Amino acid sequence: MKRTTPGGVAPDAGAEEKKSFESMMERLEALVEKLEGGNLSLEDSIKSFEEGMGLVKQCSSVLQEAEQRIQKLTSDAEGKPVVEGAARARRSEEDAEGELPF
Amino acid sequence: MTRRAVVTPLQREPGEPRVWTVSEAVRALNAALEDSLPNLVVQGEISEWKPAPSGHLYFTIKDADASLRVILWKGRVRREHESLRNGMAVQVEGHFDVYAKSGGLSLVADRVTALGYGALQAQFDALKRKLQAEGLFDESRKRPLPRYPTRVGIVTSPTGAAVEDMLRILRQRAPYVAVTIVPTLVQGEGAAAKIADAIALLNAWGGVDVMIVGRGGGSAEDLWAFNEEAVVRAIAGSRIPVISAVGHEVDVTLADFAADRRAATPTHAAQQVAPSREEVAATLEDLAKHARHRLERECREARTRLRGIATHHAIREPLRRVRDNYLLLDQRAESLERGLGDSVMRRSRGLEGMAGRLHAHTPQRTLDRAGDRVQTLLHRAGRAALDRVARGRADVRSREALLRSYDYHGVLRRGYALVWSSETGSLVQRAESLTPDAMIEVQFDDARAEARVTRLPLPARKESP
Repeated sequence: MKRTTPGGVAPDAGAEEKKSFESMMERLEALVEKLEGGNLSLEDSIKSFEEGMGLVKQCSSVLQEAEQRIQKLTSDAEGKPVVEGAARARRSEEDAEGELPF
Repeated sequence: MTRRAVVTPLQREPGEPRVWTVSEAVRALNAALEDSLPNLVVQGEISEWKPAPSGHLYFTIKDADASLRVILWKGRVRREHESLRNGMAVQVEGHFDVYAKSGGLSLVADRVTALGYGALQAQFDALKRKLQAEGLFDESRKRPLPRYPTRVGIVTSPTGAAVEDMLRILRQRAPYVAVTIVPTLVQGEGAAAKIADAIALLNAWGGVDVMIVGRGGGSAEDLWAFNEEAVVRAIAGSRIPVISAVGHEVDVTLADFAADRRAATPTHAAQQVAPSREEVAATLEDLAKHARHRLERECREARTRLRGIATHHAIREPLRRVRDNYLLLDQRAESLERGLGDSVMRRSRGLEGMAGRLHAHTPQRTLDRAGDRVQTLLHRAGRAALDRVARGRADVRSREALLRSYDYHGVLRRGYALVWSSETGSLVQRAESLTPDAMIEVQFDDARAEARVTRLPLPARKESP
């Protein structure tokens, strides 16, 4: 799922290498499926449960992201990607105009 | 406030040019048109095809250099007109008329005859056949869209209403999504190459999970860039999954065939690209609930298995170890269940702490061994114990409480005693955890007694049942 970035441009500005939301959701679904399967020892069940609950917490905190992040991608003279202006549009200013960074 | 000029009545001085009212001028123009160009047949290609709710048909016919508005009143519309589309060549028979309200010139049609596909349509069909033969539109080429993307790219015009719409929808539904806009020309000379470059740029950068490529509504000519080979190839060649979103529902472009998913409009694309925050939250809650139920059942079953053995008369030798373990298991299960009542968020924190406690005093190997033995013995002993427990007790929780007290006292009644450390309040399971002079509490069936450890270890004594 993770893709490397040519030219050293960080696609996810600010965030260190953390698991993608997609992979966390997939892992969570797999854990619940494993639990439902019922072939685990009690110990493994508890471990799976704990891991699952940790993922639920992590995923929920991603959803708590209250602001929309917008940035612009263009290319420089050599055709290398350039990212500009990680603008944030607050949710409360629903239809505010001029939130585009360009 | 500006004062409105009074334009009537009109007076004419001799020798001055006549001054017309606007209505008079339009009437005169219409009369002149009728005289000089009575009925004529004009051939051109349809664009801006727009059936009105009223049943009238409005469209434009054009050639390379000119265009004309055409009105076909409802009463003149025939069944075959349903198949007319942008890009088709038609012959329109009618007369010119200037609509008084807007002053616009229209060709009012008596009859509209389709001549088959126009030049653009022919080009569209030819390219479609060619790319189809190459397999660019094959189902098997389509990449699956990510189910939970958090980084979305949008290739579109930065100035159109479409980009505003998409950002608004995403902001409302899925503000957790980070949006990267790649501004590009979407119509006119060179637009196709610019769109293809933008798609390639996003791929080179790689910072998105999925991209939307599109624009808002327009005439067939306005949307044409999305039928050009460069754009279609760029979409088909994209490593990142692509959702196409060009114009309105009725507009189908070759970009739509190459894309991994076609959205009817940019707004639809924004709705489809990522699940709403509420949807994901509901899914999370659902998964947590399933996990919780399953674990609760797991605990219940494990405890019942052990109890079944503990109360079975035929079993002597493993009884002690089983009993030890089932006391431990009870402690685990109780603290688990206490935690399980809590909300999902607080829950996971509690579990972490609890897991630490559990690991600290769980002889896991012994427990596992006992569990295996229990399994084997269960088969031998039959399921009588389980059935007896289950019979007639609908409420699982009250059943558990009942069982717990019954078994607990049962053990003590049979003459066993529990030893608790006065200092820590925890159950003493091994003599080696005691030191001389340590204060202990001995729990019998009827009461507790405090005692002090005077000497240990003592030599082993024969056990009496």
